[in-house]
Amino acid sequence: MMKAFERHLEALASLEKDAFREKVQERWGRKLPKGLVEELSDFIVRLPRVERRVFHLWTWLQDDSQLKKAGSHFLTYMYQPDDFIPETEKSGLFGYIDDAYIAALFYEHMIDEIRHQKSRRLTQSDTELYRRAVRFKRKAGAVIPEEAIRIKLLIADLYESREEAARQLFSQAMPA
Amino acid sequence: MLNAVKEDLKKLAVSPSDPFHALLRRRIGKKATALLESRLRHFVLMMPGLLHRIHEHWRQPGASGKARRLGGFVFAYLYNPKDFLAEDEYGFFGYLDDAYLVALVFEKVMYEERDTRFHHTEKEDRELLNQIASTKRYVKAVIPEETRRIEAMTESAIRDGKYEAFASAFGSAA
Repeated sequence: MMKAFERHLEALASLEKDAFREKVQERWGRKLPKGLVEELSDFIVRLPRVERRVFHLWTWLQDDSQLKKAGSHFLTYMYQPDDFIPETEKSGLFGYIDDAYIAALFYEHMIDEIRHQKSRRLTQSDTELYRRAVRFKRKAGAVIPEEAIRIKLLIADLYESREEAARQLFSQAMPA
Repeated sequence: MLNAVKEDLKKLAVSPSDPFHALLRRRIGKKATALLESRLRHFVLMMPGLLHRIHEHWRQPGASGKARRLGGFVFAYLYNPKDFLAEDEYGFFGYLDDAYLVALVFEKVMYEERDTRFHHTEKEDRELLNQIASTKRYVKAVIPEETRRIEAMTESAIRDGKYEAFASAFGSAA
């Protein structure tokens, strides 16, 4: 199923380049820095890969660890139909910027935690994806600042397994 | 994510280069009628909607432990790059196993919810259950070995409640 997701994002990225740029421009409000649009779009297309990577690391974690529980919440959360991006901006690739932000944030937490615990040697691709996630998070955070704050709160709740709090936060998200 | 999957599956279902018909013929020969093919395609296209409904039931505060385990199992399964029919090789036909699993879990979640609380089955869910009931046997006839394994894996998921316990089933699947 992740292949279907990947194909859809790739198609959007190649067919709706201009629409994506326009939406980023609207949010940014001033002259766009060189490479910003490409970097954002590139990471959004990688979203299924980030999810798969989180899944792979998650299967390896100890059952009773906090990270395992948080990972379960994250993985199921990605099926959530509600969205932080308003309906008017949701169509096309831009509609996935919030999901990509959530994934980048969670993946960064996960890698930081694994590094801190020194429990697993990270692969070269993890190191590279981590770098991309950190850069994306910074840049996307500047494009969707209000949504980014709410997403950070959501991730903190998922991480602490505060399911009810996360659910309430979701009620503030936009229904699909 | 589910909307993206739905859109992609819709495109793939009508792609002239997709080998769905040829693969169906290879599996069941002349029994591969246009009607059967259309039913199976529809069954696959139901998958994102079924997942959405499973998620809706799964996230209810009053959802039973069994329903939550089943939901967690199917959500995790779909991230796994290994499955019974590889999409790279089989194209749209490769989603038949995923669709069967999702339909099976949906049925079990619905029966579980109906059994454990005063639950009013919504019209949308009833219609989905009817559609599954009328197509499931055709899927079983087309991919009998795969559906048997999927059923065993789902039973194990209900029993053990852990992803790892049944993830090993993939060892011989791909």
